[in-house]
Amino acid sequence: MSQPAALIEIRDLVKNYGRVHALEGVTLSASSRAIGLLGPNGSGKSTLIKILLGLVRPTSGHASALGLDSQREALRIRQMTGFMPETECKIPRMSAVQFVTLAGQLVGMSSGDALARAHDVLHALDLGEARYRDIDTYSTGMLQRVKLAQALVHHPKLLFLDEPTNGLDPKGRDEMLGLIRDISSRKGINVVLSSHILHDVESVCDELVVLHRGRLVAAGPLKDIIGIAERAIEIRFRGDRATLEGALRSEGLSPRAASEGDRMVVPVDDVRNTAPVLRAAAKCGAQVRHLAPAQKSLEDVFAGLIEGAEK
Amino acid sequence: MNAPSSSPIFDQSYQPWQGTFVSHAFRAPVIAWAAMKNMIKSNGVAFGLVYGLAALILGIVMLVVLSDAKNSTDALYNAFASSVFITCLLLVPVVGGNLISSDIRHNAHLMYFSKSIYRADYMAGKGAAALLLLTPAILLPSLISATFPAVMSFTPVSNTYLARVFAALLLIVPAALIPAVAVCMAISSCTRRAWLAGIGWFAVFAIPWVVGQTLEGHRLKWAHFVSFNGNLNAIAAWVLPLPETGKSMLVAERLKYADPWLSAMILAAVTAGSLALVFWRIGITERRS
Repeated sequence: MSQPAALIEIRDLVKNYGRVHALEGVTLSASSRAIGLLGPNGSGKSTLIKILLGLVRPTSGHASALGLDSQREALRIRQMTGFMPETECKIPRMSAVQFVTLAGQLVGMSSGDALARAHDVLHALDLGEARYRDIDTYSTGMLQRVKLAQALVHHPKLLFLDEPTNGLDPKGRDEMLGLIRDISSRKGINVVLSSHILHDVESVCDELVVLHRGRLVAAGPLKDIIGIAERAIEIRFRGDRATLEGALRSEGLSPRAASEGDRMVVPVDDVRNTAPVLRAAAKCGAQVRHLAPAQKSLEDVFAGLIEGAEK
Repeated sequence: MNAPSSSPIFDQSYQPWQGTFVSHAFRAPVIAWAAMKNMIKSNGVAFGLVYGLAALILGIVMLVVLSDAKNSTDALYNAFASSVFITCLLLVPVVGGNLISSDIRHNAHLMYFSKSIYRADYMAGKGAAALLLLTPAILLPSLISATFPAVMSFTPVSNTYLARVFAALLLIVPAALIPAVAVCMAISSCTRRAWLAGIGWFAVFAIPWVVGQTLEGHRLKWAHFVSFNGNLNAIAAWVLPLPETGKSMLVAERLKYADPWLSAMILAAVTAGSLALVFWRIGITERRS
């Protein structure tokens, strides 16, 4: 049986803009339902998406999306994918329905299909009656939803989202991430989420591609990259912090100085051996309310990866 | 015990679509239709087209009446020369100035070029929208004025003559508007601001016209090749069914209606150059998307 093609396949990809090296020999293959493209501004994320959509010709190397060559089959790729751009994108004097209908027709939907589908998608994205209003009157959050709707109108197999939470307030950000999670996990659309915001990627994606200054820093399942690499136990407790710290020290353990509130991270040799921690808590009468291996946050990992790449 | 009543539950969240795509040939007409609808919604364009067209027709009819046009060919000449000049000078930038610059300003090209369209589809759609809006502005005054004397019983106009006029206008209107729209699109693709595109158009249209007039004053034989109007008049004099007096009014008298092919080639070259510039500029915006 033949192996299913990877969603994204990139080999030795190089893109130079004059003397600027946007991408330097990137090679990767990703096939998860939700892929995070992570990196600071200027790391080459947008260039990579443009190459995958066939909008930019690479200096050398090969890129394919959905098993289609990004240069020879660009139109086919764009018909099977959706792209939500980072910046404002609108046509003045158009309503959201007209804008999304036009987007559908440009992909190849008939006018009737595109119109019906525009209503459905905008309604599903909570634009309700506002979808008839002139797009010029929309708030940032509504414009983000319209951008998502125009990318979704033809039910693409793969959706490229470039900084989808840009300019949104915390509530809007959570709603947008919820929508993306729903689309990728329940509606059968694969998502490539490009962002420099770690939380966004962490909350949606299960595979990660980390870029820095045009080079691939890390790629793989999110769990593997974050890992449970750190040998430490995280506890949440009720009781006196100083007394508990003393008890832990008497057990030969050194709780982290950065621990705060009711949370404490205790480095150990073996995360499965929780007995010394529990003993120390029992000794000082502290109530342990949560105990689990401590995970590094994506922030920690990202900082470490970038630091390593710069060295 | 009664069974609990069941009511259908409709999932109003996002649902998949499984329709089929239509032919690629529909992309350019879709872009043209959307651009036309959108331009007409603009107050500036609507004002320019509706009131401009009305004023144009009224002005030309008045011109015909006041100039005591004794026959329909003089009326046709007046109508054609005036409507081409005014349409190109005023209406082309009103319609064409915003054509591409607005998409660049609001990043609409990000939407266009992430879909399955070629640059040629986009250019054809935008150009067709401008042509469809401008054609009545150049065609109607000419047709009305060509038939006006007949309606007012100044002189009888034969059906053969009207057929020739109409056929000639079908040739001359594209010859006038296609280069004008191409140049305007090229200027519009170079800026994010419609007013800058308008100023650019006036510079491109008016400066060669002034230079051409000056050179004609010095009786230089090639003077009319310099300006858009000069070249167009050379073609019009060849195509339109005018008497010798009419032809001499359209081109410099000593040149009569010579070299219409050279004028046509110059306009074709300007069109090709402008479209190449648009293609290149759109390529840049496409890559920026």
